[in-house]
Amino acid sequence: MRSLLTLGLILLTTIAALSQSSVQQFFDKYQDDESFTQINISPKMFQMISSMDSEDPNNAEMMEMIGNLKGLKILTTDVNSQKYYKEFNDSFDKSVYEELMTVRENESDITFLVRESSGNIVNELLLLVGGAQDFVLMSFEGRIPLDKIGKLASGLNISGAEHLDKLKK
Amino acid sequence: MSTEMNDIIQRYWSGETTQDEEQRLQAYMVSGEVADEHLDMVELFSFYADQKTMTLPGELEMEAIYSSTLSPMDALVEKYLDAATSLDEEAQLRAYLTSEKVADSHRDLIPMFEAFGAEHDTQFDGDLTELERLQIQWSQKPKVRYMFPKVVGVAATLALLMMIAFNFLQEDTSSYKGKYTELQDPEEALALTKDALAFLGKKYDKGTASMKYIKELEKTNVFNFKN
Repeated sequence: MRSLLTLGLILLTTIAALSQSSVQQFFDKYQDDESFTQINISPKMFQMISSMDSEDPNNAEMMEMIGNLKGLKILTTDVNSQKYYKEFNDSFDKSVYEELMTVRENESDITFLVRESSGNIVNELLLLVGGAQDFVLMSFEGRIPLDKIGKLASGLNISGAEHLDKLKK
Repeated sequence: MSTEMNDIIQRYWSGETTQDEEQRLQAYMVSGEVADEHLDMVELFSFYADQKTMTLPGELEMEAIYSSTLSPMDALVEKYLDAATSLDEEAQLRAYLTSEKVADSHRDLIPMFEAFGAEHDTQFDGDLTELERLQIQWSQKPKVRYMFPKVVGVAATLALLMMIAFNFLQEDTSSYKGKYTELQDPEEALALTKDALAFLGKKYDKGTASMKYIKELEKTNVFNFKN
């Protein structure tokens, strides 16, 4: 009886590990694919960032948002972008991720997905862009207040997203 | 006479005869007065007749016996084949073998000596193959040889330094394109996170703006959703 219980427990943990995240699986799938660019910033790195003395009075909201982040993953490619956009849309676990909104902008489909939301706070926010040229998937993990996201746009550097540009050059 | 001979012959077969007796036996056999019962032995004795009687005086060394049965040249050839001859002896042997008076038993050796003789006479006349020339050149220039490892070492060190420097430069200016990058520098991670959040905010704004627009349309009752 006890061994049965143990077996059941092991099975459950295995299943939990396997179904860990359909999104994580998507990231893993293209980790070694040379047509993809993938960036990962680990929770440990966010700890180091928050311990850094980088007070930015002009950008308090941005810093507060970063302080609540635990992980950032970016996956992008300029090959078969529409195909990957569709593949992701078909593969993500709809019981875990909820569609927040879908926008069509300049021939690009943009989808926002959220996981485990409680009110305005979500534990993970996915940004999915499927354009004619680009496929972008961003995963922000942590405690993300949705009502503050709109204010982040003002935090964009004058020079533009130069670090994001490095993903494409 | 014949009984005496019978006795001697008997002892001869058993190897007990003295030298004298053997000589007598031989004399008897070669003489015309051989008894009928001894006629079949005549042939045997006439075969030995031209050979001198061999003496075996006491404690003669085997080697002495051996060499005594060989001609001096036989001994020399033997020595030569054992590679124990001196240069003088070899010259002697060659003179003998190239002369007219070679014993039949040594004729086989003549081609060999002719071949070696030709080889022996070869003088180094500077006619080298390309490889030999290179080998000699190489061995005559030790300086080049000793410097080679140093040059390689210096070159390798330079190459290594350049690669390290190049890598350092790459680290900052290179892109992330086409690979998986786990950011290790907090400053870099912060900068990228800011950009990513700004990008997110921009897209989010676009989305909410269009939603506001739809709400505005609803408010004006253009579409009359309620009806």
